[in-house]
Amino acid sequence: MDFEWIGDPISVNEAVRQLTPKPKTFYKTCKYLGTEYNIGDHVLIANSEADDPESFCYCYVASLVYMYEMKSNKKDPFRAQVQWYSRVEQLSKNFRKDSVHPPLDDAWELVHEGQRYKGDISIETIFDKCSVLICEENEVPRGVGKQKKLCTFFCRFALGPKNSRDLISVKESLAKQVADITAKTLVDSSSAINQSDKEPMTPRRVSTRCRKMSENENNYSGLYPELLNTPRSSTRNRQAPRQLDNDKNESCVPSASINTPRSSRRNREPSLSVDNEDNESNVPTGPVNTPRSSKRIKPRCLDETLPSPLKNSTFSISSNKTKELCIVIQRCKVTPNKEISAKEQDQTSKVKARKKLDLETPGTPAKAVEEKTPKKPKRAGSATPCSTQKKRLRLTPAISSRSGNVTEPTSPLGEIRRRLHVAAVPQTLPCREDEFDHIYNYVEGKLADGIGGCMYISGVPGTGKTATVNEVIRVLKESQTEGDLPDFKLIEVNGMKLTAPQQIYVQIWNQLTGSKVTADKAAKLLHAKFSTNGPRHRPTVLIVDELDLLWTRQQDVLYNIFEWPNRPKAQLTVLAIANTMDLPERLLMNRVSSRMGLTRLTFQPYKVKQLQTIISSRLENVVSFEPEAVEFIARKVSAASGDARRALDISRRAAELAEKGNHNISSPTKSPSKRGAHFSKSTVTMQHVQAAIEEMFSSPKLLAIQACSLHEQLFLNALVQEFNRTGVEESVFDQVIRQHYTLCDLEGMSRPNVSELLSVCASLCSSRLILSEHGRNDIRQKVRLNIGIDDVTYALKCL
Amino acid sequence: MTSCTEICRSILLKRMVFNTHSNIAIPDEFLEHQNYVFNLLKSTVVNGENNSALLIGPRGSGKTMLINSVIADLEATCNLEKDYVVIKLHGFFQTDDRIAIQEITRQLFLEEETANRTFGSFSENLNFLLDSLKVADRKTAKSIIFIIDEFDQFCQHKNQTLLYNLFDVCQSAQAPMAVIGLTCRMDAISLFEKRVRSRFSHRQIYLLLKPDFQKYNETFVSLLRLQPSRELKAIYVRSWNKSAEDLAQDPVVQGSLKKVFNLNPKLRLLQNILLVALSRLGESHPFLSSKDIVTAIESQTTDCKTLQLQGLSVLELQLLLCMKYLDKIYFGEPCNYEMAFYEYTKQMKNSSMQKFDRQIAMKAMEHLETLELIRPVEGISSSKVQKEFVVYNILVTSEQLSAAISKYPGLPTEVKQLADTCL
Repeated sequence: MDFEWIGDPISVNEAVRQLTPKPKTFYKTCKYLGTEYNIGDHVLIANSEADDPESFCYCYVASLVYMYEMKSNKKDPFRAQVQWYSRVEQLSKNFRKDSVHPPLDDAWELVHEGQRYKGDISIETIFDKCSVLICEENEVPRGVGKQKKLCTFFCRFALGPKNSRDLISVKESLAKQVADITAKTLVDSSSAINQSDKEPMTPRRVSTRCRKMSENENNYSGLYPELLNTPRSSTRNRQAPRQLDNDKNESCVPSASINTPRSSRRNREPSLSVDNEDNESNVPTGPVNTPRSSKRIKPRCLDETLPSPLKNSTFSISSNKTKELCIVIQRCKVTPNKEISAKEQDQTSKVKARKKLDLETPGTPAKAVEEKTPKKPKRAGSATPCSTQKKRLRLTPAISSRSGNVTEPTSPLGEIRRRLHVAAVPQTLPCREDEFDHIYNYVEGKLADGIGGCMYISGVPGTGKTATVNEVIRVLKESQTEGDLPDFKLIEVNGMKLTAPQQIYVQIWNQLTGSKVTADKAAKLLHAKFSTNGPRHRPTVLIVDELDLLWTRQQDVLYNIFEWPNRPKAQLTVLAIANTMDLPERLLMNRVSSRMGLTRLTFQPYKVKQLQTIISSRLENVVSFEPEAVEFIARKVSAASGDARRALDISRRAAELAEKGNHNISSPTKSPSKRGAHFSKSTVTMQHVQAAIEEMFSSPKLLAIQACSLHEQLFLNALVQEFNRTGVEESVFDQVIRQHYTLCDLEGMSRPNVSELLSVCASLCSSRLILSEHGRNDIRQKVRLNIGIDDVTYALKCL
Repeated sequence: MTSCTEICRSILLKRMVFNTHSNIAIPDEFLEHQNYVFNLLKSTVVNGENNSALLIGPRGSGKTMLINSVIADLEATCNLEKDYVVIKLHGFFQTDDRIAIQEITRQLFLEEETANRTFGSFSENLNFLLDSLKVADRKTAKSIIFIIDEFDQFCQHKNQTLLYNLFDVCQSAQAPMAVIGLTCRMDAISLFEKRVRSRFSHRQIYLLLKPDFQKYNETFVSLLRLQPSRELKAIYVRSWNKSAEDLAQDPVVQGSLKKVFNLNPKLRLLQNILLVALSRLGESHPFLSSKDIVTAIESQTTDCKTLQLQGLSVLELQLLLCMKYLDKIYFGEPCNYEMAFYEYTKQMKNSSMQKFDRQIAMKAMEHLETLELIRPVEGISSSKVQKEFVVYNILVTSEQLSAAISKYPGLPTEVKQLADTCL
């Protein structure tokens, strides 16, 4: 492999060294595939999940904090700690991106990620250098974009603290980090001295923190790799002038870089880079080798560094002032405003545009802007990455908005109706505490251990499966923002919302990355994703609702869903939800059910008491339901299905009836028993519940028969007679006609003809009072009653 | 210049064809239901609630009329028209979920001029629609009212995907919407898959009304009643209305109407009858007579098989009679051509009528089959059997046959005698 360390091992802070117990050797510079990388450099890291891992549309950007070799890791010994930057499109939707002005640039803007992700990567995933300009909140720097093979990004914002959703100024954020660290180290060092020399170098506070969230430590210590331990290697000093020479050379021949194909980038020397290392040699920091002494010395050391404006590129941010200076100087050196004329820039962008399948025809406004005003890199940049172009053509899903806002119901019973709606989300889920704990512990355990697994959840409809799982996820997200759990990616799919089982791959992939691919492609990509452990790999929680609909003859979809969690690198937790308890045994092949494992949870239908609790918990302190009424609902529902939705629907309807009832009572007559009227106004009684249940569950067969025309009724009667005659439920139409005619003669009515009787039969059949064969069979069609014979005779007697 | 009769005729014909009778009110019994549906939709539009309901009633019971009047009321209610979108689906037009989803998207986004957009695959469309409904904010998004006619047809769709998703949105806090299904099946709920059923709110509104001949008669008059206008002189209108009322009281008309009413008390049939009757009006025949009504009723209720039988040749009739005879002897067992022809030759032995040979009789039999007066028995594939031995069921009743024979012009007496013996 084309990899070598340059220079001697350096020593680092003990805290960093202790991140993993395994022995590591730290270095300052390395050379990989012909490119030299130094600590502090900004690099592009391949995104193994993207279609083209090394295209700079999809790759990750980070700055190197440490590089080390871990001998114990045979496969992948060369590793690096990085500080991540997030591309705008990689940002989570939670962040308020819109409040930013000027708006975020999708192509070349980065957001400093602070301490959100663990930045331990393999050096082999790095494929190129880049530069990052740190800017003020409201400025958009010039010269970003890809020029002469070097990508220049800019960064204005950083992610806020863990549970905030705001973007904060990157300068402030970095300055704050510096201040934090300074303060901390001051305290730490003093306490360390005060205690004793036997105490470990890292004070307890730091070490516990370090154990808890290791990335924290990396980050703040990463801010000053040189400050903590700066044995300036001779190689590096030697290196610097040569680089500068290169820079000059390249800037003189800009056309060469335009024409060189992208593949050559690996072999080229770092060019126009952010490195200003020649200046760095002026920084008067003595080599400090022991971590302990570094701690003590650091504050002073920091002070000494501050005035040196040409500290290592963008990364040496110590205070706002120096940073600005630093950037100003840097821009003078780096931005090729003078070297590359506008004409050449235009040419480059044209080449790019052709490459990127740009959908715009030459001469469209965006292009014109680019040519005219290279000062606005926002517009110019946005024309380059193809992904944004595609997105613009897609319809954004939205419902047109109404003229005014909805008004909340004002009446007390209206409020109850709102609360009793099945959609109203309760604060807590009563009666499912055990199941909640079970699922929560399972998922939390898997996330904390960084392993995968799957759980099968079953239960009849309306028993709170999906609600409980959603609740678990909500709580998990909460504890994640508090920092107790690692960040995880949530994917929700519903079998009913897919048009074909294979579409699940598309959905998962879409939710993972936001891009749309075909089912086959998505399956391949997912296989790749779950079998490799790329950088920034986050644990994933996959919720599959209505699992049984993913059943296919080959069962390949189900197989894959349960196979992925079993892969060692996937870190995937699957929560599969379905109705049938014995789905694995009944429907699934052995190899699928074996992978599914034995972690199962069954949601029993709600019992009477539970339903009572559910309804009364929704009502809370509004005493408008008679307790007996609630109990009645609970008993009715639990006897039938145990479906909580039904119970809520009944109580809601009962509330409506009560509301309507007291309108009717109170409005026309005011006098009779004011107390009684008042009583009925605020309560839902047994009668209302009874009426609601009646309305929802009784099928008004008697009414339906009575609403039939005379001959329809006679026809039903004739069917009954025919059944009595033959004893067989099914009879042929022309036999029924005979009976019908007899009945007509009995009643003294004229006989209708066959066409008329066929239409009578068809109309009865359309309301499914009778069932009949296809009308093609004409008078030979078979007819049977769809209601009880007793119902018919009773209904006809009542007439 | 067009006469009053002409104008009156054209107004009334339009009324019968286009259902533009404003004077047919919703029956009082349904006012409560109408109120219920109105409040349901209003709370969806005003408060952003999610509701679902089924309107169940036999054909012609006024489901669509009721929902249309509710929508009209909703429009009339002050400044609500910008707060909701009505999406109408029909089970016989949107025969699968793919078409239904395209139709919903089209109706939803019509305002945004997306008409020329080409739609992607089914799954893309579904996801797009679901995303739209998901991102819609309860507080600010327009309420969507789905009116789904022939709702039971949607239950036949694969997995009931559309219904599941609509009801799922209804029962979870997503876009505010109401789903109103119209169906004539009493057992509509049992068609739902269990997950769909659980998500449905079980609000069922039954539109059932006992038929009442008095009301039917009133409807008859109000369908014919005219209002005086610029074109119609008041004096003509008065005399026309008087004649219509007299007509309704005519015992002959009443008797015929009662017959129709006993069979099918639906408005639609009455309109069809009046359409036929009204088209006879002219300068020489300015008012409807009872005869017009009676003949119109007859034209709407005649037996089509009898008419068909009157157009058959004598040989075909004879064959049918023979088959009916065999059917009677063998208690409804099917018979084949050979049996029928043997019976025919037996009948013809002593006859003076012209005897036809096998081939001609075979042709006649095939003609009967194409007219579907006889039908090969199902389950026995006719391709494997020689056509002489294909067994047929006869789809004509003896009443129809004897009615046709009595009306058949110039039928030989021998055939009539044969019919007497056979039936």
